Amino acid sequence: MGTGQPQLIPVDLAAAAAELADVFNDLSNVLDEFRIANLAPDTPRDKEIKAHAQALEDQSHRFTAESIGAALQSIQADLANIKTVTRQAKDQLKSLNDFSKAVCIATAAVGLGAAIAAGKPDSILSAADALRQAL
Amino acid sequence: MISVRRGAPTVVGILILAAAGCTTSESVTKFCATASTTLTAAGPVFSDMKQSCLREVNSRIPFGSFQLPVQDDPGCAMIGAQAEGAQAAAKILADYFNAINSVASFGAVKTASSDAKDLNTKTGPAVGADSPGQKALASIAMFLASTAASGYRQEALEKDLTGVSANISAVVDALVVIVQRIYIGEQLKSEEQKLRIRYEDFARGKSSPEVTLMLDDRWHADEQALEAKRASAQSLVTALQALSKGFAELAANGHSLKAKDVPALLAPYETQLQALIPQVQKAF
Repeated sequence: MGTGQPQLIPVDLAAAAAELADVFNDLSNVLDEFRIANLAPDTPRDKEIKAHAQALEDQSHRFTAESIGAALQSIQADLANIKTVTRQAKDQLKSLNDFSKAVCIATAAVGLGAAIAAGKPDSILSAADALRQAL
Repeated sequence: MISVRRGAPTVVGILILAAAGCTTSESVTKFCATASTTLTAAGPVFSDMKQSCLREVNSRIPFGSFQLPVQDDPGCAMIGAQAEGAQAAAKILADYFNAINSVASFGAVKTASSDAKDLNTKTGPAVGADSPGQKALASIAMFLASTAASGYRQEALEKDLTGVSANISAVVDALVVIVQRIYIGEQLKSEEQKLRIRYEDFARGKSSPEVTLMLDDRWHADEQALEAKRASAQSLVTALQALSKGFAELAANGHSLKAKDVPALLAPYETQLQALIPQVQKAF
């Protein structure tokens, strides 16, 4: 103690993975709710948003299942940031009726999910920034 | 390295008590047999983790498109691997309780798992490589493999069980996390949300009251099936916790209890498990 070094807080990796799975599942659901509320069925726009919702759902499954301990360890410091920006995206999608904006947010969210799954801290940071800018 | 808590409860006392009288032996036998049945009943719950994921993926297929459901999906395959690991972990624990049962009944292990080490290699995805649960399973598997290799007897168990018994709660904890957090907390919840979206999607633009009523009926039926699975899984969590607590109490008090006190200690847990097993099996 008293070394001036920050103490590392042990992270429950299973809980962290579950939280990520939850966040991406929530994003997938609000995208589906967006298209049901705002778009005509089976139109190209409806299908585009549906495809994004499915991609986010697939990423949620991956976070549920995959042993992403290494990836999570490398992003511990960014985890809170990721959760904040994805929750902001979810909140914004809930009250959105602009298709282009919804597609922008969905694309950036899918990109963030892919970066987290790849476990590359630099890509995660830039993908989180891209999502923040899309909001 | 095997993870063993210092001052860990020992089951040596249990075995001594078991040898001390028929009533004690019978109560230990009953508890261990019920614990083993509980762990076997967990199998279909773990199997449904992948099936739930596949049902969710298949809920993307619109009603009336007459597409065959997909049988595999990369994300669901990963969840399936976790589920297989959990099943293997439960099987190792069931074998352990069968071994203790055998000692309580006959004073020696008559039959034991010879595939415990093979099973243990499958548990990594479920409990996490190098996690306390994985180390505990390795310890239990090692014990079971050695009982299979030789006609293990009560005297030899006294040394080994001290270490192995301390690991039971670590494995049960890992299984509880898998059922509670991953299956109930994530997978079933996610399946339920996508199910609702499937019906909402189909109902869009369809104004016929008959169609809406029919959809509502079908959605309620699907929702009830999901609710039944959730209730069964919750019963499994309660059963696993009871199993772990009962065994820990028995081990902790093994030295100080009189033989006549053991049935009173185990009976509530055994009764609770007996009541929970049908609840676990109900939805599967």
